[in-house]
Amino acid sequence: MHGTGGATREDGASHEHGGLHFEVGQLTRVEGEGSLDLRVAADGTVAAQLRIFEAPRYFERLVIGRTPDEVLDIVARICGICPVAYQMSAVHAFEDLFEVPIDAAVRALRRLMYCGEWIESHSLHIFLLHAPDFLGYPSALEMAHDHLELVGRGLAIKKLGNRIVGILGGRAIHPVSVRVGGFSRAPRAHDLDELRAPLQAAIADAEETVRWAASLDTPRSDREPRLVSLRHPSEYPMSDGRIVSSDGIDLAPSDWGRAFHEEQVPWSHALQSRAADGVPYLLGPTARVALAGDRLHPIARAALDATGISPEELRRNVFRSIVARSVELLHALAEASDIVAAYEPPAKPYAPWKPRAGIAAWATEAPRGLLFQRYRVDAAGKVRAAQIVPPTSQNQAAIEHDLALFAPAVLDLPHEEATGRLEQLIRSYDPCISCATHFLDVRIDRDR
Amino acid sequence: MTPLIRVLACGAIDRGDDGAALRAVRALTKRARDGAQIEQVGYLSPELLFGDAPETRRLVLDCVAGLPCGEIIDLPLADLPELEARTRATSTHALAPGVAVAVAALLGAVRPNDRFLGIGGECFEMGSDLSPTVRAQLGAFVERVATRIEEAHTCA
Repeated sequence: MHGTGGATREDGASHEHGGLHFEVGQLTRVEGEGSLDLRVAADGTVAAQLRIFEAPRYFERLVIGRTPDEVLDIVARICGICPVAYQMSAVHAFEDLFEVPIDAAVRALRRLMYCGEWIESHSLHIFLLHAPDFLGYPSALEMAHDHLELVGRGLAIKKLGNRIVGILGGRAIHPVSVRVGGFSRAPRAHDLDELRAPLQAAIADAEETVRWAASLDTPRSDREPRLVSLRHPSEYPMSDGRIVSSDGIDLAPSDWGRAFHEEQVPWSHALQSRAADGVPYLLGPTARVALAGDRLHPIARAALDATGISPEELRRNVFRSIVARSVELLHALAEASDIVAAYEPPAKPYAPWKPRAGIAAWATEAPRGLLFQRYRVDAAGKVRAAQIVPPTSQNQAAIEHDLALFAPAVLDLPHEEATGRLEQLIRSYDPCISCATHFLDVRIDRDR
Repeated sequence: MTPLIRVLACGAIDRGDDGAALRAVRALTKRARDGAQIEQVGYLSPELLFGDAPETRRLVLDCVAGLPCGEIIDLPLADLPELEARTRATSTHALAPGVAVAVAALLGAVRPNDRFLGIGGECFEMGSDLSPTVRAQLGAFVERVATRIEEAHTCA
């Protein structure tokens, strides 16, 4: 329950320096703490700054001098919601550098573990964090009073995701079994049997969830984002594939730095990422569905098609991300079910490897989007330099851009309603402020 | 075998006082550890309280922002939302622990025998150690955890 003792949410608007100061004490239902400043110029132009003031966490320094397997344990600590993503980007980076052959069964287990994390993370966001916005409740608790079946459904799915990660990772939070070359221990076939029936039940629930998400009354928004995700020749993107964008970027997963860079902005402790031309870009479920929707599991693809929502609407309306996330939840459950059904334990849970000096770099798809890591490794295999680029910090600039576009439509609404809409938009990105940010205050300064 | 008591230790070991619950379960005697199913859960989420056998008690441990530093609080788990409201503590988690308990309670997953044991904290910075006050009170906190575990066996 760490946090700011005694802090309360103070909403209100006041005039300051001839402008309107619009403040919300904190944004709830996001992981982490930060604030938002909106400045409305006399000509109506809106500038948005997502202020991330969580203290630097030094993980890029903590891994220096560590072995690759130690790095896997350390980076899993970056996030309580998406530790698998941090482990997967790191382990693929090291295995690529060391040219470690990975058994097909081990690869399948890693996808299953990643599916577990997507299931956990997406169900938390859809049912407890984002749904209250659409159904008109201030919190998951108030919503649960009236929509208990919906909340119960979401939590049952989340529990299944926890279980998958727990079986494969040794525990659901900060898993410990991933190592370079594979796993410290592979489950026996019957260890996965307990997942079969719950996965089938959850697939049916997730199909219903897609229908429900598509039926939600959604605010209007219109943008044309640059989308970035992995794309694989045959699979929905998770751990492999090339980094592609909606405007033609096509890179190996180790080459993120050739098209994107991080930069410091004065209002945020987290670095922002931009493409070489300085334009923001969007990661996450919407980007993946747009760029790799043809790789969705047939069950998920059929569910998406049945919604009747056009690809353009899904891409351009930020609030439709709940639909994309629901489709991915269904995909993860269906793929997990397939992997469990076909599972045969690997002959060995891990392959041997030898260190060598060089650059280890890789990108995988965390629930919130592309997660890139790069390590400079010495001949003994110890890390000498590290770069970790979480999806939320990459999405920051896109969030600011979309807030500036959307804000004029709500600034004349009553303060509370405007604040709610702005928070809803921010939650559409499922920002993980523990990876990049924590509390969010919203402040609007308006020149008049 | 069905455990008589599950101990759900919340928090992050590398965030100062937020790691108090994790340090407490590590400091338990072997006898106490053997008497419980101890789980490090990071943050409390409602589904963690689903699916236990009716006879299994649950003991949730966490550090509480908003309580006087070092103060130990021992209350029915169902009362955690009220504590959260009273202390006006702000969780940095997407779902505050009190909300998680209240949602679980609506779904019938919180029982009269479930308990919450908390310790007030003041320092949550990444990479920091326990504050001196929490460190001084940790022994008493561990003792209270052990007592609750023992009690589960006594009352079984």
